[in-house]
Amino acid sequence: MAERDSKAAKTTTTTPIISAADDDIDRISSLPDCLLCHILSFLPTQTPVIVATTSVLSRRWRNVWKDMEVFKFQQKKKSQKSLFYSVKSVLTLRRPGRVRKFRLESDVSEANLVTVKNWINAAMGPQLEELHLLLSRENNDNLPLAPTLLISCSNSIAALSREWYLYFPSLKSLSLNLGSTQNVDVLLSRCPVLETLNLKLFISTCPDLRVQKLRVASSSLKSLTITALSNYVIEGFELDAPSLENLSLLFNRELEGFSVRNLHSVRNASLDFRFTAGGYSVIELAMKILEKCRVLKDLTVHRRKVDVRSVNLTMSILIIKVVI
Amino acid sequence: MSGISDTERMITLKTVEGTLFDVKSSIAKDIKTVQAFIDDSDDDVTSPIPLPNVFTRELSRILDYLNNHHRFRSDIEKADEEMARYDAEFAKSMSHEELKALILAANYLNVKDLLEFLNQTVADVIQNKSVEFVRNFFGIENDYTPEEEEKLRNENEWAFNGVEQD
Repeated sequence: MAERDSKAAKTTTTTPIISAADDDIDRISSLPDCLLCHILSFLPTQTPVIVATTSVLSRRWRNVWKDMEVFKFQQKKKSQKSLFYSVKSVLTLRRPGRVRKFRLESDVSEANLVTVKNWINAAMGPQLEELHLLLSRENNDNLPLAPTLLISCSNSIAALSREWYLYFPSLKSLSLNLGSTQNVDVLLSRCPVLETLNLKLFISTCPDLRVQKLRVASSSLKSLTITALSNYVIEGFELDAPSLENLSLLFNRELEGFSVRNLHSVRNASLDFRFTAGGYSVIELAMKILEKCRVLKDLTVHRRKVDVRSVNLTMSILIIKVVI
Repeated sequence: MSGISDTERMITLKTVEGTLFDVKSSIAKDIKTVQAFIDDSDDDVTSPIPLPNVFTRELSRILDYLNNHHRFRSDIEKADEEMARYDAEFAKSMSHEELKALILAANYLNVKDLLEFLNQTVADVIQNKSVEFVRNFFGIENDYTPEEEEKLRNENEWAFNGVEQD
């Protein structure tokens, strides 16, 4: 390494100006609270214990934890009530601010599901990197809660999922409002029994975002609604859902690449393509989807007329609605 | 622009004591405070960049760390393994005082990866330790009266109910 003594160094003393022992207290008290919180966030210790322990240290430390951005709550056997009290106290007394990590392991009854939902919604934000939820139904140790826990996050999933540790082993219904399609497939792979997905794509706040990939692949998905009112082009839309029965698609921008597979269970389909130009024509696109739908009963095509008869299909459509 | 030349541009950093360090511009990129200085000067940095809060001992350690990490990263196959080994050695080689001084320097210089690593190291040290140990470690003066502290400890009992204790 290139270290060289300059003239300046030669004229000054070579021993450090202050020795580490002398300035120890000064230096540490100059640490901003956020740095102390950062250190605390690496403790495996649970949040309530950190709060209790650090606030006893000194007057200044009494409030340090209030800027913490990482939260861990785990329930001790059969004491859900006191855990909820702890969570409530911590979340109420902290200073309002961002949440980077949130972990909650607890029993949840139907009665307090709303409370838990509120906590999760409060944790959801653009800064959230990790969300761990291990919620079990009360009085039933092994059975995970089957929450139709609806998580709506208006923020970009890209920001949410830098470290995407979400896992919903029993999530049946998921509703996402997103500014970006990134990581949708990762999220779906963490929801092995998901049946209903309602995906709304909004205008992205990221100025560089021109094209996005969107991949929806799930063997459990029964109902899919995609409402894409985005300001970017979807390049590569992949759909693979062998159990899918209800399909509703709305795209306002052209699709560059396109692949559909395993739509043989689709019974109801609603297609709404609001663009005129692009890699595929609207008709082509609709046909490609309809080709795969062998047992389609109910089809609604918005705006654009699709000549269903021209498709050589073994399908038995009962109701065709064409809304122009 | 400097990127055209084959030899990498060097940046000179100056510590509190006045010691000068020559640093590759690729390394300087990881030192966000320095990079911000370079960006603000439109890449036209000719004189040493003064670091009024950073001592020679800390800067030399930080540059060691960054240089080594850059070297590891060039060999992708072994990178993780070697980096982990180096980091463990790096953490072990420091006294608690040195560790705290380094955190302050890394924070001022805004070296994100190193700061994360150091803070993790501190957390590992104070984990499961008594209030007295933590006070001692951070050099915190207990300004509570014994009565106040006792009261606070009792008040905080709630925190230990309902959670798994380590």
